[in-house]
Amino acid sequence: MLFNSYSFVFLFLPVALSGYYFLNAKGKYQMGENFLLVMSVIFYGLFDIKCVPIIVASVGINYTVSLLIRKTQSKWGLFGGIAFNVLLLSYFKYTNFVLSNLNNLFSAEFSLLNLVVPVGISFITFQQISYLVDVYRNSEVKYCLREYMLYALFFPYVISGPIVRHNQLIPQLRDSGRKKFNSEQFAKGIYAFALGLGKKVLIADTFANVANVGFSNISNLNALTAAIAIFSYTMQIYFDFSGYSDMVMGIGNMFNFDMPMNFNSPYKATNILDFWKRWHMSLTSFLTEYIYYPLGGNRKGTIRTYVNIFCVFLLSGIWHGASWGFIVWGVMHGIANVITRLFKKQVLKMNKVLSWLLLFAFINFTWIFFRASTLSDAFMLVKALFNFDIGTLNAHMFPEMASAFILPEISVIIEILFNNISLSNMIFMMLTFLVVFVCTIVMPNVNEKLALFKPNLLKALFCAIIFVWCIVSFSGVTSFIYVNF
Amino acid sequence: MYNKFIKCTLGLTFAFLIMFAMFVIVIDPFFHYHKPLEFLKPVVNNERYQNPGIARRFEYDSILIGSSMAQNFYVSELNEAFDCDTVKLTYPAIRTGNYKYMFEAAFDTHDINNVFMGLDIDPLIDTYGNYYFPLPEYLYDQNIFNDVEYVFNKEVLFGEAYQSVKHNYKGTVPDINEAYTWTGHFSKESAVGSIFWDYNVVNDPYEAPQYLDNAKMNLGNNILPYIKTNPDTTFYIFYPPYNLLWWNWHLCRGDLNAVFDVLEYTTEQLLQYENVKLFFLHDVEKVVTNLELYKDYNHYNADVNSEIIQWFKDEKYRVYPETYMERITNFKDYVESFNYVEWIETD
Repeated sequence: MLFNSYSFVFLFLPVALSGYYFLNAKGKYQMGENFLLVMSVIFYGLFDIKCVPIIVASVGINYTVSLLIRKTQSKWGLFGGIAFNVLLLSYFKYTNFVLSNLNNLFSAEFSLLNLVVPVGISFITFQQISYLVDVYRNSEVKYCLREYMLYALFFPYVISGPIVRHNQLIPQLRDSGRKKFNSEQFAKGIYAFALGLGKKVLIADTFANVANVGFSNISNLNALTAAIAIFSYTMQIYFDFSGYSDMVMGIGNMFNFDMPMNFNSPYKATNILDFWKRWHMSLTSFLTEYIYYPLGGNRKGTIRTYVNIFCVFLLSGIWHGASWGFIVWGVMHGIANVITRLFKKQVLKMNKVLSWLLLFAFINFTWIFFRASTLSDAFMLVKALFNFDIGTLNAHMFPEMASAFILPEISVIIEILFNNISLSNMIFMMLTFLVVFVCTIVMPNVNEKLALFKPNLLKALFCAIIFVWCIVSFSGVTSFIYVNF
Repeated sequence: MYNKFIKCTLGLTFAFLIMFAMFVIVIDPFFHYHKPLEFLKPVVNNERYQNPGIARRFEYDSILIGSSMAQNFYVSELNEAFDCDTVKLTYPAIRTGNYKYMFEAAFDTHDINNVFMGLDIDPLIDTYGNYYFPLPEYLYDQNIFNDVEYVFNKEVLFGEAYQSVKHNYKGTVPDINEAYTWTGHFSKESAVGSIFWDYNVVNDPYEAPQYLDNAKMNLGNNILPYIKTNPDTTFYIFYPPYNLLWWNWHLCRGDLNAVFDVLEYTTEQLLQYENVKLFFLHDVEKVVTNLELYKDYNHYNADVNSEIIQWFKDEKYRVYPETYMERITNFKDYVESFNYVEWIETD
């Protein structure tokens, strides 16, 4: 069940909120937490019921290991726990990647496994590793099974993050002051959820339509349409991820919890160091604390520092997905980080606009490898981009991209107002690109908006319009082309 | 003030959603809730979404059902030939589940005099329960809760509903008689151009018992019960006349025997009912050997559909319990001994 679905908005979320606050109002706080835990397991199970036993077992095993670590302070216990989590993640996510690469390298014929990757396993793995390490470092960290399970499986973030630390959620669970319905928090939650839903459904999914046209037809692209495809994906991933993070924040607020900020207008960053302080902040924080520092951080000399940084980004690439594209993406960011640190003084002195331009171009470029299905597709797209052939506006997938971008409600307006629909579509697309892009680098983000949030009728009307516009976008009318025809 | 904000937001959201839904329900482009309004002529252009509504809400006494092989019938010709009022409930790449849904909807709500039905091989041999294209379940089931996918769906309002209002306003509502008809380039060149197998190589026959197993399930669960429980309805069933390229494909592939097993079984089952008039058109030589009538290895032009109506009326090419085996056997011999290479390669 996705956040952007009828069943979540009309059924799951209202039931979860009602049940939780009803039980809390009766003073049954533990029952309220159990209720949230059950709802979280149901939420997870609706993605794939077969994976529920795997994830619940993983949580149970991690909790047991944490008890052992607390009792014995055993380093081997910690290593064993970390190894268990890494092996579980590796088995599901990377086995077939390794096997197919072995087949290619050595002309072997290993059969790929028929595996279903448990949803959210990457996030759950890092979350649980962070908990085990924290327990080892501080035996005062002590939660009951109910608290731990709810922390590990809480539905707002279990599927796509952020990577929440135990001490970011569980103290809030224990705070009886947060058990009561808080209208200010709830109002902020509605506002954040509306904005996040709008970002995901109206903006990200629309840009995705254009990106998909481009990335599915790379051989037909010229420089212009290659750039449009890449830029579309840059916008798609930004609004998808930040929209999702906003929804998590919003849902958290509705339950009277403060969720950690995960996005801080990353496309406003002027260098790669700044970018990674703003993009997927919970991942950066995890990698810094649990990978970079244990490797030695910057305490073992300059060369070792750069090696550590490179390893962190390589790991980040691998964590994002089992393909060479993700690894190349991670490596590129690692190299960029190292180079920026090497020339940090010069970078910080650089003209901010130039610095921003260079970074934004780099980010767009690296997203090619993140999104393309294969490395050869990525290189083909790079080649199309740099052949500098702009061509005409009636070819190279430009009309198809424009058509994919136009929402049905916009299509009606264009049809009524303009004669040349095809040209109008293209102009509308380019104008929208410009407006949306400017908003990402100029407008305050949701965190900043929430800090200054003052409810009024206009905001209520705005939220209502966004909610309705998104809800009526959850479903569509699909058409299929009968290819035998 | 925060409470007021919450109430305002939720209240406005609810009100806007209701308004949106009312537009969809009133225009109802898929006829899910009511028959077409008098001032809004139906724009019929989307089988998967509109057929259930048409089956339940329109006025008719006969139905036409089948695959793309049946889409090129003009219901006006059927109506004239049989003095009836027919609706078209065809689906491209139909599967037997589609037949079941349409029979349920039609027979539950109407007294049906005639069913004009194309029956292809593919729907019979496909895995029971499969659909070539997924269906919008919310329009086919009785679950009112999943109607949110219809009433809160902007593509319905700004797509289908808008088109309906626009065409009515401009007076350009397409003739329902021509709904779903298609055309193309019909020629030997086009038909031969669709060959994707090596017609010079006949592979060894292989067993495909799953074809017959699937046919038994498909026929037994989704088609025969409706024939049986509606003895007053005449079922004019025809096997679409694929050209001999289609049969060559199965001959070369090696599953021809399995296909004929299905054909034999299906014919035997259908002919046990008195209200079935079955037309075996696979062996109509003047059609199936004339590639000028086809655009690929099975799709014929609308002239053939018109002829089929006449054959229904004249009961030409009809098979009976005592004649079907001979027809099938002779046709199989014909398929196996035909000189495909000369037929394909000479003008």
